[in-house]
Amino acid sequence: MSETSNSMIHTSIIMFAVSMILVLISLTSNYVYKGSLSAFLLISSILFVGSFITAFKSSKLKEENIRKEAFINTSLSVFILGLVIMILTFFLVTLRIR
Amino acid sequence: MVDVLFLGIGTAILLFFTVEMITFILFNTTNNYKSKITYFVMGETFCIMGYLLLFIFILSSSDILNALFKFSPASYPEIARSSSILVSIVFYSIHIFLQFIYNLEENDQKTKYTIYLIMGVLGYIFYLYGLIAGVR
Repeated sequence: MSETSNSMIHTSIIMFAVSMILVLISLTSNYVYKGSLSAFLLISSILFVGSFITAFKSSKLKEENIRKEAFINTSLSVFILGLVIMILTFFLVTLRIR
Repeated sequence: MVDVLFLGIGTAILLFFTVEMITFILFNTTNNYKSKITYFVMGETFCIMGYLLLFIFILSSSDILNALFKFSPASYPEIARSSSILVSIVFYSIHIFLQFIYNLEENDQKTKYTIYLIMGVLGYIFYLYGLIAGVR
């Protein structure tokens, strides 16, 4: 179970970095909808930060019990929520629905 | 463009804090130990995410802090909005501080859990008031 929390920490850090780089790229571009694009990407990056914090808390717990399992489940579900919002952002912006 | 950005982030903060309020209700109405802990951890995570977004929102938007600290007279909605959002930040800081120190989901932490709950609800009410006062 500790390997799962470690891999959740790594993946959420990488996805946070990716979404922050995308925010920077969208803010410096000349795209028409860069405001809404960067706002939604910022929200998804905060979701990845939440996933990271939860995975970090689960890695701090020594014994394997229900609490640790709950932390890992929450981390995974928040991570998937962040991915879904990130993908939906690109769909919404490319379809130009505001 | 700035309006779209702040409106989206404000709605996301409201969504996160509302999820936390719903997990409070679910936590207090179930007796199953495993689902109680799952609800509590879910509420903690959403509270932290909302708090982070609220912090970025306050630090990045210049007009909210400006309305309080500038010496020229400001309009009533600006003052109400910025002061109530600052008060809600203070309440949520205590809320998050408590959840990092104690294991609040255990049965022997009832009084601390009650303080934690009251702080969260007060922060939510002040944040809602801040959002409503901004509408013209």
